[in-house]
Parts: sequence; C-alpha cells; structure tokens
Amino acid sequence: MRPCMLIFAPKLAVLAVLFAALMLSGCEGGGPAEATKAEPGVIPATAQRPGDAAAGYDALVNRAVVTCGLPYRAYAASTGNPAPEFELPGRRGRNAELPYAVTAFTADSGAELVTSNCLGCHAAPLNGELVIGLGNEFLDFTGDPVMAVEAAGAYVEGEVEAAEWQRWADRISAIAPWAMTDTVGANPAIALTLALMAHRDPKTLAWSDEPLMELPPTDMMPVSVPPWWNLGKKHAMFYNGEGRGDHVRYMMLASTTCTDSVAEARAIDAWFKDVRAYLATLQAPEYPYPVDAELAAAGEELFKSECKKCHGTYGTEARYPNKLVALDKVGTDPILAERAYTDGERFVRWFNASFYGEDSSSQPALGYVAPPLDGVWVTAPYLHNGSVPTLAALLDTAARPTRWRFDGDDPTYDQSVLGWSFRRLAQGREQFASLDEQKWVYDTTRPGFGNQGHDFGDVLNGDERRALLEYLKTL
Amino acid sequence: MAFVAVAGAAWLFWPNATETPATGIDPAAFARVLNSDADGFADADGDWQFDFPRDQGPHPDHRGEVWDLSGLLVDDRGRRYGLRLTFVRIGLAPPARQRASALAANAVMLARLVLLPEVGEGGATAQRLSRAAGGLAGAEAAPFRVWVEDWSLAQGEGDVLVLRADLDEARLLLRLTPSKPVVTDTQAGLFAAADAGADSAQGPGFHFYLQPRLTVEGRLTLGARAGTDVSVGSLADERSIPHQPTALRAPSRPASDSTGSGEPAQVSVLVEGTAWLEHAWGSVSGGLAGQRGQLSLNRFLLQLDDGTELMCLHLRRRGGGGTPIPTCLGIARDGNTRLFQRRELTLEPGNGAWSSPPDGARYPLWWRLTLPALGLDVALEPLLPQQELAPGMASGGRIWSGLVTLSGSRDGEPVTGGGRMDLSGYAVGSGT
Repeated sequence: MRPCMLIFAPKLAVLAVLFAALMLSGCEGGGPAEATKAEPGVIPATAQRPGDAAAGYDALVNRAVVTCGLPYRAYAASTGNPAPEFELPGRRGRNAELPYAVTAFTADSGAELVTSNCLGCHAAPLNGELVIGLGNEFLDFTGDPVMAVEAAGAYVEGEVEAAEWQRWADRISAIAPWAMTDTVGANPAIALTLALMAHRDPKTLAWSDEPLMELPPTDMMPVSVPPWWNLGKKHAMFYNGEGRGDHVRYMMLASTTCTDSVAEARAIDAWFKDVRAYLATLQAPEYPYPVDAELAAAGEELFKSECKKCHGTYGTEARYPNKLVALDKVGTDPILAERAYTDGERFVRWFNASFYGEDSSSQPALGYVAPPLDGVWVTAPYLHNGSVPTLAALLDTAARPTRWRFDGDDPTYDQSVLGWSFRRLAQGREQFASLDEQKWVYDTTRPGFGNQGHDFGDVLNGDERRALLEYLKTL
Repeated sequence: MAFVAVAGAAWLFWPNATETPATGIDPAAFARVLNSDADGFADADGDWQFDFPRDQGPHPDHRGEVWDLSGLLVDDRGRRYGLRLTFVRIGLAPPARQRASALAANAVMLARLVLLPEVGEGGATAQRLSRAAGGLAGAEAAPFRVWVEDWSLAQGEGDVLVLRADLDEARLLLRLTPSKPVVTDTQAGLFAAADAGADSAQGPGFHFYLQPRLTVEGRLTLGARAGTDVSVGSLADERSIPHQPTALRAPSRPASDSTGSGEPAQVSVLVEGTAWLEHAWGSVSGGLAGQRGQLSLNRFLLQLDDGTELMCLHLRRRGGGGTPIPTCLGIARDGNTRLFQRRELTLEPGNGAWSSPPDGARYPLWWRLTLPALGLDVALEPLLPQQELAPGMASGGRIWSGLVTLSGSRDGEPVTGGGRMDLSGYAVGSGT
C-alpha cells in the first residue's frame, strides 16, 4: 500500500500530478539519520496507531493532504466544472459538487482551492461504481504537467488567488520531470515523491526552489497501484517492503508537495491516523461473475500446496505470512528494488531524519513482498510493474505477451483469463508515429518493464491452472 | 473532463477568452462604444463543420469576425515591405433582428492597413470605420468580398484573391494565389485537447482557419496622393494586374508624376511575395487576446522559404517567473500539420530588446526558434523595430505586432523566410 497519489481526473492526467508514494532506500552510513537495510524473510509486525475509521473516511473524502492547489474559480472556469461522475457518499459542501479525484479546501489566505486527493489513483470505476481502494491502472501520466499548471494561470484573477496559483504551479513545475511517465498505467508516484524530498530540508520541511540534494533519475520505473484493502494485513508498505514502522507517515507523504513546516505536517498527521484506520477496514470486492465451486475447491488444494507459503491462506483460517521474497527467488524485474537499495541512500536518510520518519524507518531490501491476494481478480495487470496483463498469464510464463496494450481505454473484463482485455503487439512503441499511440504500448523488453519471474505456475498443467484460477476468483 | 486540458495538449489560443484581440483593432471596445448587444448571436463553442468557399465569407450569426492578412513583399528592385490588412466586422444585431433596408446598418466594419518598407520612405498606416450599409462597407460570401470603402479583399478568378487599397501615400493592387489548403482549428487540433473529448465544456469562443500561404504578385504605387492620382487609377482595374510571373521579373519603369506641380514623384513598382490570411469568427472578445488572467501570450506566424509554415505560441507569466510554454503547429509542404509541444522545441528571446519611445517599454524583438524534429534552428528579427501598436489601438494593453524576417538552417542547409510576431504584456500598464 502506498500513500496517496493525487490526480485530477482519471483520463486527464495532464494535471495529474500530485503525489504519492515513495521509495526510500538504504543509507550506507555517514548521515545524521539512522538507516538500515532489510534482508529477505518475514517482516515483523509494528503496532499501528489507533484511529477513528468513520472520521477517517470523512477526512479522506473532504480534507486536503496536498495543501496547495488551483483557485476554485479558475478550476471551474477551465474545466467547465464537471458534475461528479460517481456518487461518493459523505462528501460535504463544495466537495459534493466535485469529481471524486479532487478536493476543495480554503487556504489560510482565504482563497478556495481545488487540489488532487488520494482517490485519483486509489479509487477506480468498476461496473459503473467507484471502488475505493482499487488502484486505477488506466491513468495517463504522459501529459506535460507544466503546460497544464502554467496554462491554468489564464483563468486566475486577483492577487490572492494569483499567489496561490503561483505557489502550486511552482511546486508542480519543480517536480514535473518526475511526475510523468511514457506509458498509460505506469504511475510516477515514487519518483515524484523523491523529487519533492530533494527540495525540502528534512528537519524544518522548508521548501527550497533549488534542490538540496541530488534529484532522482528521470528514467522512470513503471509501478502498478496496489489495492488499499490489503493494508490491514501488511506489516510493511511498498513493493520492496521498505516502509517499516508507523504507516501513517508514509501515507501522508503527498503533503510534501506544499506542507512547508513540521507544525503543518503534524496537523495533517493528527487526522491521517484516522484515514489509516478507515483504510484498514476496506474489503476487496467480490468476483461478480459465476464461479465453478467444484473446480475452485480443486484449485484451493493446489493453492495450499503451491502458493500458501508466500501468499498465505484465505477463508476461515486466514493467515498472511508477510514475506519479503529475495529477488533471485521471485525472479521478477529487479530494477525497482535494486535502485532503492543501491542508489537511494540520500532519500532514506532524508526520510529517517524528517518528521515523517519519527516513528517510521525506511528499510529497503533486495526483494519484493509477496502480497495478500484478496480481490486479486480485479487488480490486473500484475507484478509490481504491471507487466503481466492477466492472472492466467501470471501463472504461465509462456502466455505472457512481450508487447501489449489494453484493448481500448475502457477494456472489458475477460473472465477466461482474469484481467482487462488486451491485444498482443508484434512491435514496440516505434511502430507508431504519434505519442498518443505509443503511450499505450507496454513493452516488457524495456528496463524496469520486464515480465520475467514468478514462474511458479509453469509446473501446472492446463487443468490444474484452470482450477487454480477458479479458486483465485473466490479470494 | 477537460481540466486545463485545452492547454495541455494542443492549445494555440486562449480557450474561451474574455479579453481583447491582439489584431491591432479592438472589436470589443468598438462593440461597447456601439452599445452592441451580444444577445441573439450564436455561440462559437463546439465543433464547426467547415465549408469553403462559404466560410470565406461573413458569419452574421456570430457577433465578431476578423480577416487578417499579413505578408512580406519585395519589389523588383529588391526593396522589402511588410503588409498587413485587417478587416473586422462587428454585428450590431443578430440576423433575427436585422432590418431589411439597404441603408440599415446591421454591422460595423473596421479596417486597418499597414505598409511598411524595410528601408526608406513610403510607409503607411491607416484605419477606416464604416457602417455596413449602403454599400459603403461589408462582407459577402458568393463571390467572397470584404471591404471598407475602397479597401477590399475579394475573390478574383478561381481561388485567387484580389486586394485593392488606396491610401494617401500608396496604392496597392495585388493578386493572392493560395498555394496550400487551409488549416482549420479542428484539423490542427488547435483547441481540442487530446483528452478534452465530448466532456469539454469550454470552447475557444470562436472558430478559425488559416490560409497558410498565398503567393502574392501585383503593383504598388508610392507617392503623394497616390490613391487619387489619375495616372495610376487604371491600376484599380483588375485586368492590369500582372498575371504572368515573368512580368514581375521585368524591371518596371517608375511612373513619374510629370505634372510639375511640385508634388513628390509617384513610383509604381511590381511586387511579389508571400502572405497568409487568418479568418476567425465568434465572440468579439474571443481568443486572440494578448493577455489573460496571470498570463501573457506571444504569437508567431512564420513562413519558411522551403514551403513550410509554423504557427507558434509562447505563454509566460505576466508577473515573471515560472516556465514559459512554447507550442508550435508545423504545416508541411504537403499541407499536413503536426503539433510540437514544450519539450520538443525552444522558442526564446535573445538578449537584445527594443525600447518603445513613449515610455521605454522593452520588447524582446529578436528570438530564436529550434525544433529538432524538423532540423530547424532559426533566428527571428523585426523587419523594423517600430511596429508597436499605438496606445489605444488595443485596449487589452499595448502590443508589438509586426513583420519579422527569419534566417537560419534546416537540416544543415540555409533557410530564410518571414512572418508576423505579436508580443503582449511588455509595456508598463499593459496588464489587465
């Protein structure tokens, strides 16, 4: 689970910019802050602060964790003020009028601002309803956020609102190179959070227009948005399990966009522990299509023999082992974990030295967490980088497409393979002249986009694989 | 949803603008003076089904309309001239409320003409305003004609346009032959963001097309009272316009005034060159404004002598800071268009600036454009620095709007050309 990704609207990613998770990495000593690296194996539990789940939901849908934004009047003028597409219960006041991915709030200056919220990435439409906690795998971050935020200035009037717009636009522009990807569905959360850290003093959280440490690389690794409903089971956050200790401070890292003092951050923390409490109550959506119970029962036996050790058990005797599996064992694309472990010490040092690291610590490892599989049927595409489009392909390396794209921007769910329908492509991005077409191509031959590993399903025959897939529908 | 997307993907003008145009004439101000009421006029948001030649002509359902011709001419002695002829129509009453009498004015027409020699005397700038009634001024579709008194742009043979303008200092008679298809706003993706789709509630407030290249040939007569001199009056006859390009290469004999009246001699020369025509209709306060909200907009319309054109925008914060946003629409020799966005080009002012005499307002008149995808690296410079529009000509703020020349390289080969540059927001007090 990762902190809030904030964007303005699903298909609109032009603005999509505001935040997210982070990938902290190992500190090799010498810095003022303690940092450790983790080894593969079982991740120990850490007590999480209690919170009020109901208050947390209310805050999630009504409060702003990104404390800057576009003045409401400019927002309304530039968007035409679209009505909400989905009902989001409990939205109050202005927020009741806004799409789910944005939140309105009143700044200290008195200006009413609109900003991205967590749901932009961590909620997605499913069969006509919005599912909170379902990562949106169709977001388009390929647009240039600088153009969007600067151009929004055409709609801003008055000194107070101009100052607010400028602050927001400056922040977004500063991290723009890290807020973009070149492939639809690839989420830039990690890199943009690291870029924000580079602009802040970890002790005071004061913003510096000039980066205070080396910025992260701009060749971004694609990341899939993990579901929120697994939060309650997981001892550590992020694919590489580096988010140890208190989870709230990771979740609220989106605040690093515009929260410029420890006092402000502490005020957000006070209500964000309620948000975490709410997230821990979320349940995965049930498989909405028919399930062959007999076949699923056979699949459960296979699951217990082949999968349980890492992914745990489900149903009445549910148990989740919280295992971090070494890269050489899981075999999936190693670059994300390696980079955090080897090249990111400055970020881990920053985190551990900051307010955000008070009760948390970043402990990257050379491995990936075997996630809980609740609702796995709906979390396609699979692996940390979203490189495998279906569960059937995840269980059969020979069936994995080397180059593929979703079948349109609103593909149907394919019950035969468990995933969003896709098309295999004979060539990569280069076959298309326009960026609008190139961005849909997922090319697993690119660094960080690899679809190798997790080949444990290759030992199954066709009948066994069908049975296992049937069982996975029931989780 | 189209959140700011109009800008994000393909924005070449202000979407849904509310300020005044930078065409050199301010239709909004005139509309106010005329107490013209927008009620009853059509809304220019949404798609437009372009239909030519119909759309060459006026769109009386819409309140405002601009035909704006710019060009760079050279005479047979190598002297260069900038040319600008702008017609503006302001509707006074929508068609439903129009009066049928030929003498009733349902619109007001404005025109502005600039003839700007690169060196020496002979320049002219003039404006005219007339009611569109009694044949004094107007715009017609079939055949196309837009005119204010004896200034006109009209359809000639085939798709040729004929420009006539008589001034005290000069007389122009030009044939303009399109050498490329027009580029419409929808074709160019000028307003539609990739993502805006049907959800977009905001249109640009006007419709627009560009005739990106007109080949010009004709005759220019300079001298006192040129427009009234009988000896050159016959030039007003279209039949006297040279039709054969070879005629332009033959040295012309200056037609001297030999009346001995003491008036300066008149000179009649053949000219040729290129021009382009922009035609927009919709809200009179539509999207050609130089400033809006916190931003200022510069526009560049460039013709390369290799047959390509570029239409570029450069957005920047009015108060300084931020990241300027350049965008260019490239029009290839075959008429195909391609949009280049911020990260695919650079368009930046050089170090030099020109100080406007009234108050020392500094305009960056020297620019550099690089567009690696086209192998292009060119410098722009003004034909003459003094092309600032006088205060009051554009109520949204003083602007510099004038002809430029360009030189540089394309794929390593020398390339030259010319065009027009509109710079906004540089003069003190030009903010809104």
